[in-house]
This record gives sequence, structure tokens and C-alpha cells, in this order.
Amino acid sequence: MKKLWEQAVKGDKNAEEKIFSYLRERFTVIAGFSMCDDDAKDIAHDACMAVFKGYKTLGSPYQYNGWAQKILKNKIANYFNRKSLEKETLSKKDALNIGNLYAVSHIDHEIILTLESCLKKLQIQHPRYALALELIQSGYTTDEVCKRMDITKNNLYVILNRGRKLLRDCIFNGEVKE
Amino acid sequence: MKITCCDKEKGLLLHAYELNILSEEEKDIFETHLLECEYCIQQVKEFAPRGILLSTSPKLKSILQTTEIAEKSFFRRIQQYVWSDKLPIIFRPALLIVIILLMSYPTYLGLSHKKNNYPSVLQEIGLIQTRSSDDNNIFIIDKNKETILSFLISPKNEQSKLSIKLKNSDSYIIYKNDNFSGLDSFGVGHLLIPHKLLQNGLYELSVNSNDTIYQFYFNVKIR
Repeated sequence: MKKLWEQAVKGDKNAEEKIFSYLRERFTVIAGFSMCDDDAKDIAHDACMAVFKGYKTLGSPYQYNGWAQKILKNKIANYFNRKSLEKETLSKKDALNIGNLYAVSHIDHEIILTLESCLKKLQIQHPRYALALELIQSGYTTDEVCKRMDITKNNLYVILNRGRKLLRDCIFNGEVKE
Repeated sequence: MKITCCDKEKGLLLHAYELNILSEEEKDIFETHLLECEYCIQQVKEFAPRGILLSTSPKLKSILQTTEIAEKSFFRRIQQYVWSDKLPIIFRPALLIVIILLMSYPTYLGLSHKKNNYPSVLQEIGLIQTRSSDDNNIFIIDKNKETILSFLISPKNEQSKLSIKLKNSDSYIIYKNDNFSGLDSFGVGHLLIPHKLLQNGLYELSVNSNDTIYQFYFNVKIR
């Protein structure tokens, strides 16, 4: 990736196109977390255009990813600001939550059923993951969850990732491994 | 080839990111990581709608709610019971249990000491009638145990009153009973001798019944 950036800076159109497609794919995934797929694609495209307008002004290729992420973040924030101006002024977090709900409404009902059955299995195999999820759902912040479970933030992330691995196995293979 | 995360430390934020619980700073770090990590972007892409659901769906919440209850029932309830915050420290069950255990130890020691002073088991010596002392007729008995001397005389004496004397080797009478009536239907008498009366040495038990004297010699050795 670093090489591609360097080639693009030197004027290699082919490298520029590869980076464009690479970034657009990732931006779409990231933006897709808080909005519907069509909007996410638009935002990703806009963010890519903004990146390609100014990337040559950056000194080091190591800064590109962080800089590109900031551009995407601003594009997403602008998107929600535009949305919220239509009704009333909302905080960024509220706007993101609305985005999440909007994204959820487009999800297949079958996924929920699969998740339900897998979570029931996980409650037995990995109760700490289920507990952490329950607390997160109840609206506790990360620090509050850690305090209630008497663990560090790092431990919480480890528990979540382990639970995710089991959940993924259950969703795609139909079983929860020990 | 199996792809793995290029930065395990940042990769740890994966599921927390999907659940949208990262701080703004952590979120920026992970999103930047997503732009360079093939493994994590694939994982996020694959899992995408489920992460949002896990943290927001009320349906899933109702399933998860039982977990906290279960957790409480195992650990927290016990903890809350033995160290209840509602009670003053001195009345908390955990402390009371410790106090009771500490107080019961001296009581246990006292009881076990008392128990040692009182013999609880009997031992029996079966005597055979002899006319003279016999050094071979030795009975080894336990210290601090009451002893029953069993002796056989004629069954016809069952109803009559007997006179009994137990002498030690110095011919000193250590036990005497002129109205003994402890014969059973077979003519066997049972005489309970307190443990303090018997020492090492030769003893003579004489039973007088209607002018007939029955003599029993026996040696006692205490272990």
C-alpha cells in the first residue's frame, strides 16, 4: 500500500486507481455502520474524491491512512448534520444512533433469528460475553461495564473478541465450540 | 494462506468497534487500522449487520437479560448475603460465622477433655474357679475402662443372697458385697468393678453361698 501511494504521488494513474478502489471499498464498510448501503457508497465516493484532491500535499506515506480516516469521519459527520438540520439540532452521538437504527431497519429478519438461537447457546458456553453484551445493551459505557464486571478494559475487549469468535462459528457453522 | 490481523493490539478493538462502544479516540485508531488490515476489514464486512443488532436489538436484549440474573444467583447473591452492605460490619454473616467458629473451638477443646476423663467402654473378664493362685491366669485390661468380672457358680444359687469379697495380693479387701443377687438363670454372676480399683497384680474373688465358698484367682495387667 505504501508503494502504491508513492507511485501515485509520482503520477502513476494505475496506482491511483488501485488506491481509489481500495479506499472506496473500505470507506463503504466503515460508513455502512451508521447509514444505509446507498448512502454509505455515496459518502465513501465523496471521501475518496476528497482524498485524491489533497493527498499529494502530504509529506509522508505513513500519514495517508490516518488522514483518509479523518476525511471519511468528517464526511459522515457532515451527512448527519445535514440530516439533523432538517428536523432539529442533534448531538453527533444522537445522530450516529439514529444512523444505526436506520441501518438496522434494513436488516434481514432471519439474521435476528440466527443471532437469538446462537446467543442462547453462548449464554451457557461463554456467560461473561453474554453478560458484557447485556450491559452494553443496557446503555452502560465501557468503563461502567468494566467496573461492574470487575475487569480491565483490555480484558473486556478480549472477552468480546472471544465471544465474537464463538458467535461467528455458531452463525456460519451452526455450532458453538468449547 | 490464512490471513491474520497485522496488529494484534489494534485488532483487539474489533468487536468493541462493531458494538459501537469505543471512545472517539479508539474508534479513530481502529478505523485507521481498518484501512490497512485486510483481515479486520473482511471480518467487519462479514459481521457488519450483526454487530449493530447485538448492541441495539431489544429482542436480543431480552435473551441476554437472564445472564445477569444467573450470574447474580451464583456469585453476587452469595456475596451480598455473607457481606451485606445493609448491615453494620459486626452483624454481617461472614464475620458472625468467623466469630462463632472461634468461640466454638474452646468449647470443643473443653468437651473433648471432659470426654477423656470418663470411660465409655466396658471390658469383661471371664473367671474360672480355681483353688490356688495361677500365674498363667493373666488378664490384660485397658486403663480407664470399667471391668465386669463374670464368674460361674451353680444355678441353684440363683435366688439366694451371696457374699462376695475381692482381695488384692496383700489380702486387702478392695470390694465387698454381702447381698449380691446378680446371678442369671445359668448361674453366671456379673460384677462391675470400677477401673480405679484394679491395679497390676494378683486378685482373689471369693463367693460365699450357703456356706460353700467359690474361689477365683486371676492376675491383672494394665496396659
